[in-house]
Amino acid sequence: MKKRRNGITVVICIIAMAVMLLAGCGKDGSETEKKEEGGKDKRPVIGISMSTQTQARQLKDVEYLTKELDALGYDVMVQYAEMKPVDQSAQIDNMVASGCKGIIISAWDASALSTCVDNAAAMDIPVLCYDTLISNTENVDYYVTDNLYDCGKIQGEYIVSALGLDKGEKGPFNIEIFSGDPADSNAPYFYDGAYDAIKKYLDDGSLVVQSGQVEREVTATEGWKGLKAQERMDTILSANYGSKHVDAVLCNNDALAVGVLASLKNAGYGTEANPYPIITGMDCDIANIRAIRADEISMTVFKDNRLIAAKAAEVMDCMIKGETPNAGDVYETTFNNGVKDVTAFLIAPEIIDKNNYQEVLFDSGYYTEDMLDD
Amino acid sequence: MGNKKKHNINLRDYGMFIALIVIVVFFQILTNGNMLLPMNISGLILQNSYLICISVGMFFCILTGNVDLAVGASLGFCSAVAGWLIVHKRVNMWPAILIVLLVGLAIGAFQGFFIAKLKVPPFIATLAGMLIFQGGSLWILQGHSISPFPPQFQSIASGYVLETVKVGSMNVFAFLCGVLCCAALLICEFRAYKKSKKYGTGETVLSFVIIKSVLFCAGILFITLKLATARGIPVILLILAVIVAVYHFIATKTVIGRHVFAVGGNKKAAALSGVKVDKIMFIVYTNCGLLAAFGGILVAARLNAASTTAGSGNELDAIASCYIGGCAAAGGEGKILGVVIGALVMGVLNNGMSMMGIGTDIQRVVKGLILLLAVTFDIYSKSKSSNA
Repeated sequence: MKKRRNGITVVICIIAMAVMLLAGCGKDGSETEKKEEGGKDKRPVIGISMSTQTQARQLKDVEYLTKELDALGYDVMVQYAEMKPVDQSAQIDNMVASGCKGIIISAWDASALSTCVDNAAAMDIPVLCYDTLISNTENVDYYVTDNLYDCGKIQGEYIVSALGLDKGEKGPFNIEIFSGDPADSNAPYFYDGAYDAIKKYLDDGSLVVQSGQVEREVTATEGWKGLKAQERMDTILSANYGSKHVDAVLCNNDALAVGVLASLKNAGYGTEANPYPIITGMDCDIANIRAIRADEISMTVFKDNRLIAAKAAEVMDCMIKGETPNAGDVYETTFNNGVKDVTAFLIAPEIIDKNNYQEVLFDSGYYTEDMLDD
Repeated sequence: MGNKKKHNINLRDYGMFIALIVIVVFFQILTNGNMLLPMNISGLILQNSYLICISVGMFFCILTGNVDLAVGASLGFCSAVAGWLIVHKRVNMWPAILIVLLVGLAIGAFQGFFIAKLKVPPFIATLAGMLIFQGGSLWILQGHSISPFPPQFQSIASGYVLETVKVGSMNVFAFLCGVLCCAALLICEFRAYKKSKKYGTGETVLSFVIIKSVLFCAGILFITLKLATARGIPVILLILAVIVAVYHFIATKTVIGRHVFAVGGNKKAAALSGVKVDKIMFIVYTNCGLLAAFGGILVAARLNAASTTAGSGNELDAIASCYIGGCAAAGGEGKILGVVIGALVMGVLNNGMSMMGIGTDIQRVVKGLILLLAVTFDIYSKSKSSNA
């Protein structure tokens, strides 16, 4: 019995090998034909390489990109790299190998993808930088994102006007700063935009950072994680705010704001005597919209991914067809990625607070009403 | 009776190899032939090079019945050191690589000291190592990735051997490699056959030896010919082949190798038989550090950057590769080739699912299930043959 079973297994093994050999050889011959036929039978595929599946923003990006590309006649292949550049590099290589006509990359580590972008270029596959600009390679021609610097700038300006500093209030007001992941190449822009908006007041003393933590490196939050922001805020509060009161917290994104809010709640903020400070955010996470509605968080920044995705899809389409994309009514500029100046299309961000969230986010259909109920 | 028993053992040995082939065929069909395109075969090798490297190092740890949790962090730390030396300090590539390897040795020796001399449980010592070197890597990188590396360094990961030497459209070096490997394989197999005939052990059935040789040769020729019609043999493949061959030799044919197996099989018995257990443990962990350094260099070359998250989580991938490849959970059993196959199984799964555009969430579930299946099957078949 055993002998027969072993014999069968060996035979299966041989057949498997033979099939594989045949499949390989067969495909080689008819490869070029198949690729041409592909255009008629099925739609060209655009590869979308995203950096993480754990942030709501990325999922929305994919949703809109898929919709826009579908309207232009493309199918999509989406891969998430879970914050690992090694995996993202491999996934992009795989997209190239599986015959994608173009690749849109939202890089986690924008300085670590030059090799796979060069590989894609060697196969004549255009690459579009989405949200982060890939550096160290000349094979990226276009970059579509929101206006990063302005995102930070309107956060800083919101704090300034909410505290009345631009109308002559002298304070001094206490402010703490929370910026993004130390390795995220976009984070410095958000930080710089915000910092430049409040610098004048930091210098003249009307804004004071009690913890002394002002610089980008020291305010950075690993992975943009709310939990890390909460821990840091706990430490800052117990070390510096025993008797003092925080008036504003500049958080570069919504996840950080949620963490900071949790810390403040635990420390006893949120009462008549001890009201919440001005808290900023970005990305319009649903949790933050609820908090804004409940007067816990002050504002967030709306980067309409629909507009960004639409522009990205349009640019990708042009790249594949070999045309030059038009800026249209979008702000066009260049960014240098270390090797060349890359044409960039920047979508303007918008402030969202208690006054306009309903209109901008819900009436426009970006979110549905039931998302607020929980 | 004797014949049947030998057949069973043989098949279990090749169980994972067969599984690898089945998976490859499966994806070849599902990706419309893209899996076995030369570009993708090179891609597979490049994507899993660092994993195979650290899995070989992890193999010896697992042989002793322990794990090295710091491998991923050491890899990241070494890649950061490489970046700092080559990009920031502009040290020439070759001395820099040597220094990075020495750093890896030092990391391994550091942990080995605590494990061997001070008797700290390896799990704890390497967990501590993981934390230390994760922090160390972040400290060197200051939160940013360091890039770009000079083109010569990049070519470690993206270069091909003698790419331009061709006859017709076939890369000469690749073709020769394929032929030589087959020749070497045939010689080895028949030598083993003759030896087993002489001593009455191993495979004494000629037909099986022939089938096995034919299949392996077919596989080797298939891959090298595919590569020959493209850009040739990647430099990394050559480096890996040397590393795997060297460690295979160490594991099977040297005294140290046998001592590691002995320590894993039964530590007390090994000690009583004269094996210097402390020295072996020290060597095993130092070696892990060295191979982690190798892996770090490969990753830095491949990404053209020393990245802040390089290596994170890879210690678990290495452990998975070893177990899929047939190492026993308690130690004392395993093969280097099995580890390579284990790493390839995971690599092919990643690659195939990625090419099919399967969501990464589902990919993880599948990988976990396959790991579970592989090890369960292995343990089950082991218990069957020991009962038989």
